[in-house]
Amino acid sequence: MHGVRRARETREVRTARRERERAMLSTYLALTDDILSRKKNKDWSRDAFDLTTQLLSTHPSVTNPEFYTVWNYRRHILTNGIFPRSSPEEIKELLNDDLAMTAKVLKVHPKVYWIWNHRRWCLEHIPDSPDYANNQAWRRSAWERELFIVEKMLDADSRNFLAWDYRRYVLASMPVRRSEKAEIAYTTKKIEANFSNFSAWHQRTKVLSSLWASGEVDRTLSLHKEFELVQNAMFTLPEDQSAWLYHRWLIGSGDNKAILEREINLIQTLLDEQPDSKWCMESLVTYKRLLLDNHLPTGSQEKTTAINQCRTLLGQLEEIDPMRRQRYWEMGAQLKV
Amino acid sequence: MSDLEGNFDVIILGTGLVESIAAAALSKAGFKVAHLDNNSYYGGDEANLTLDELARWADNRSTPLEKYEKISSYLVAQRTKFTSITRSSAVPDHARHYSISLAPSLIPSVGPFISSLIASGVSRYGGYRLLERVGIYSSSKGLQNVPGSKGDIFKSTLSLIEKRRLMRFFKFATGKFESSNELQGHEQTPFPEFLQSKFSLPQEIVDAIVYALAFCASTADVTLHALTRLRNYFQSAGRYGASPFLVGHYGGLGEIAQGFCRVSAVNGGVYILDKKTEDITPPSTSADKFVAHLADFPSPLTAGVLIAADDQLPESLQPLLTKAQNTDESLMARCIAIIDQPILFPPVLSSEGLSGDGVNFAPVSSGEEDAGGQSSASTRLASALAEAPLVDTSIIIFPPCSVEGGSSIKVAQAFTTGAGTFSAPEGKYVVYVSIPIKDGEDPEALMEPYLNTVFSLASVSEPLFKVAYVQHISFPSSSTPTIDLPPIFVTPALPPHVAEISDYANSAAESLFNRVVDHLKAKIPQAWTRERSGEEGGGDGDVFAEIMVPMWPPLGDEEEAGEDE
Amino acid sequence: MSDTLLIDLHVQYIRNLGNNKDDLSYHMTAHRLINGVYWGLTALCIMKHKEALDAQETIEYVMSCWDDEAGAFGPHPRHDAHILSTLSAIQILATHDALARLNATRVVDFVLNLQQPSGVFAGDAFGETDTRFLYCAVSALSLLGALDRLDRERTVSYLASCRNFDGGFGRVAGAESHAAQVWVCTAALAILDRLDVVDVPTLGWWLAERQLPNGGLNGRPEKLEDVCYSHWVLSSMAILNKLTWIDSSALTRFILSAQDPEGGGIADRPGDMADIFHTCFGVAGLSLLGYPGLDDLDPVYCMPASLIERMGLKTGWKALPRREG
Repeated sequence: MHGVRRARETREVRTARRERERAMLSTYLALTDDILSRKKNKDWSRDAFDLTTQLLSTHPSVTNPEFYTVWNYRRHILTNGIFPRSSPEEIKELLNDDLAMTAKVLKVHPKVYWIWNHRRWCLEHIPDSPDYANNQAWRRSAWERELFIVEKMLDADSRNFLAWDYRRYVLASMPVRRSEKAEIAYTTKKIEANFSNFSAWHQRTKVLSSLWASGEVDRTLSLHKEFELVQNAMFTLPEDQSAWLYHRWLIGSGDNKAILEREINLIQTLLDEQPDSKWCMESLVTYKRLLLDNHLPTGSQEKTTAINQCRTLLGQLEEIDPMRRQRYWEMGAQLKV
Repeated sequence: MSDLEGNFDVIILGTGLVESIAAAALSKAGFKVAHLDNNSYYGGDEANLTLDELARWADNRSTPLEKYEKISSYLVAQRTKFTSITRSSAVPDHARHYSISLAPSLIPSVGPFISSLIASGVSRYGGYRLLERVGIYSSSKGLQNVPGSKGDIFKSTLSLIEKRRLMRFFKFATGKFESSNELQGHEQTPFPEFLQSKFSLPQEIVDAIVYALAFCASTADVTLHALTRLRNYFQSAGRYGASPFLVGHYGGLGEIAQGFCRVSAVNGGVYILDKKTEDITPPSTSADKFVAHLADFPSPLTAGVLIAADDQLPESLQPLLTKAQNTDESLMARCIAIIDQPILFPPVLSSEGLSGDGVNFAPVSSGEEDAGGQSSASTRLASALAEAPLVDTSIIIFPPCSVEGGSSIKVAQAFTTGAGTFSAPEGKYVVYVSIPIKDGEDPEALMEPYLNTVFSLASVSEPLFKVAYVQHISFPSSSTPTIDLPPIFVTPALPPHVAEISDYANSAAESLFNRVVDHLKAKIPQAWTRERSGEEGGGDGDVFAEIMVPMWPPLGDEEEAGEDE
Repeated sequence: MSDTLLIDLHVQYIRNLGNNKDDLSYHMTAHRLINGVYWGLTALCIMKHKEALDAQETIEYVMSCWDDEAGAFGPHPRHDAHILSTLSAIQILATHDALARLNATRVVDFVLNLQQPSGVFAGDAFGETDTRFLYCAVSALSLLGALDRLDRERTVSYLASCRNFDGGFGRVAGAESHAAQVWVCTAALAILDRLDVVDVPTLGWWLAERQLPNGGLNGRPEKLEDVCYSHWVLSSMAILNKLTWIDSSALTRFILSAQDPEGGGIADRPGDMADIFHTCFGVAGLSLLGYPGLDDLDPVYCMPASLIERMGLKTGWKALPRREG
């Protein structure tokens, strides 16, 4: 029961509620009993199919889209009973109907895994077009609509991780793949709408990695732009974790000394402006340690200075972020000259 | 009309916004209201007029009078309220497709006025649109978007440090600043000075905050007031969309005033417009009520209480009022221009909000479509994103020293509405430019550089039509009560500030409502309790006194389901 | 608001859940009923009141969920088998020392058949994949003593592919880190003795940053706190031996403040309706934080620690020392 406010139910109220629910309960039990009996008897009829529609989506009072056994049964009816006597056009129509139905159910239950699952099954069972030449367009339309639905779901809740996962699945499965650059543009749009949306930043890490790996985008050039983008978020709201996490991804293992030093200086500027910023201090410690480990010669004066700076910062962090004090203390203890 | 039907609890003269809200509230509370107006239209000084009506409005107030010409006391009053009127001689085509507001306004999405719109049901009668853009002008940088949210700051072209400082100020201004160290001792400091010293903000950002976000009228506005206003606006943002402000369809407040009149009529209010009031006699030893005689009207109207806009009160009654000793008069030079090009705003990076959607008093949500309509909606979305959006509804602020040849101390505004609010035909825009003016200054000379700047921002050389005038607004300088014996309640003038007028009108109407109800409770309890308490046969003054009369009685579930949050 | 754990009330609350068969909601949630029984039983064990639910009745209920066609357990009689309900059935039977009742050969086959070429597991024959199902498979095989039949390499390599730059793990490869998925992945790796796949300092940091100023934990950056993360986050931290990296007293206060002081049970956050899921995970979190008077929870299996130790399955996790009442 996520986010349902507590309400005290007196004995009278409970009795009254059960009285009210009695009719619904018997309807529900009769409907589920009918469906489960038909299922046991391997009833693959259209009647049985319609009963599952009622229970999962259309019944006026007792729908239950979380009853996955009934989704399973529905799919069995389709593959065993209905598809064998249907033309490809009819099958496509049936699947389209199911996609429309689940789209409606999803609006009310955006986080029910079984519904997303059923859509996926539908998409994967769209038959080949009888007209071979037309096959591509026939499938393509279904998948593009899917991307539209998932965007609608992300408009409603831009952090819905099921929707993001499903989006990645759709992008990877579309018969005509979309350019990954288009996906970068989509994440930019989501980030501009709300840069505290870490899901969008995360998606960017995945898509950019792929674009860099394929050589489609020049890593050095795009890194520069990404730093600029994320710096806007860091400076606008230094307490927002999303930006700092993304920045940390951009820094990576810190093998580029120039970038490391540039970003350390910039964060220092931000810290000077906002002297109580925990994320500035935390990131400075992390990046200075990368500098220590990767770039500063052992025993050098620079190294000693950097270590001392880290110690000071960790001391400050223990003060301003006492919840995580032990971690800062341990990090300080690990610093060796 | 039978003799009995001519008896009212309240007669209201004038259908300006304050009178109309009061009429709706009193009718809903069960009082009998007769609502009269000299004009043929609703709205008084807040009316919306078509272009030809506007031309006539201007002419009626500016044509020199013949020596012996006699005009109504209303028009006499109007001629002192609106002066220096000039207009283009030719009225453009499709004059009836325009809806021009005499009181252009932005409605904050949170506040007393919007609450009244929803609680009274008036919100259902009209449409609303979010203000799309707030711009600030400077001669060096031209027109710039004003950042009003965390997202705007993120996307803006400010430097990184400026972003940090501005966001720090935004957080401060949305929080409990009253108890903050920063504000202590600076409540009365001029707001620009406070921003510079406490938040180290550069002049350009200070100007944007002071004039374009807090809508300060001058450099002297004090910090506490400006911050309080600003926090209101910040709290308004996000209720219906990114902007804190709504703009009413069909010209705004006049349409809304008419909506309140409609609510009053639905609840038994009687409406008589465009009828000359021949005479109103006050209560006396022979009659205990006001008696109003209307031209061509068979029987007089009577009521125990009179509410009137100051310019609609018959001359004969004016001596009965104790005039406020002094009145402060403020003057506003105004110009209404019709142009046929949109004002060009700089783009807001890639994700231009699809803010053209109408507002339907429900919290922001994504309007999702049924699965069937996806492809068409998808194309719409794509095409909306592809073309650079034309800004339909916007406001531009001109801080002091921002325009060459303009004022070095005054703030001017240009508020624009277009076809998106149904106030102009497709492709045409109504621009309202205003600037405060002092007695003796030349309004045209003062206005000219701003008008030229606005026209150049829209790339037009001449407007299709133009009306310019000076509006005189008088406020009693002391809080002299306007209630007297006999019970005449005169409604106050509304401030000319674009973002304050609606909430101010609502507060004025509420105070009027409470005073009238108190008066009726005390003077004529029986008239009202009979009606309301029905078979309980009330009428006992003590019982009556305990009844709280809410301005807006709770709405029936059925009637208003889904209206409010 | 109470500052102590209202054990008697919670025991009563759990006991009452079985008496709600007249409620529509009882039947509407039948698709996760067996999980509810597992959550209730585990919470009772940790609160040292295992006896509050009748063991024999519970075992018979579990056996009535057997789906003979699939060779595994459903969440309720006549429902289809699924790996989620199958693990719950195994956990309940193990807790009651009744693993002998199930047909281990068939269950192990059911589980192993769900592994995909990538190494991930499906939940059932319809093929939804998720690291949750992978954990269920690994935990189930381990409890049934059949880990040697698992293709460890492929399983571990799938887990590694779900690891993100922030140290966390997602639902599938490519997915955003989420505390619940972090737990299933680290716990699976713990069972497989492959914690070397985890970037401990980075993940420990990410987990520590889940604590919000009110003491509660969230599941992802910039999200709200929720009592269930007391288990997902804390158990992961216990597995990594990083429980000291958050403020345990602030979290204890938060969990206690989400109790329903009248009806019993724990909610997702203060003032909300209690449910058995949050009751179990709230109690589990308190146990790991060393709350006095509770039994130890094994954070890898989310079962009583003494039982896992007896079964010879204990791994190297570390909870906070139990405080004196």
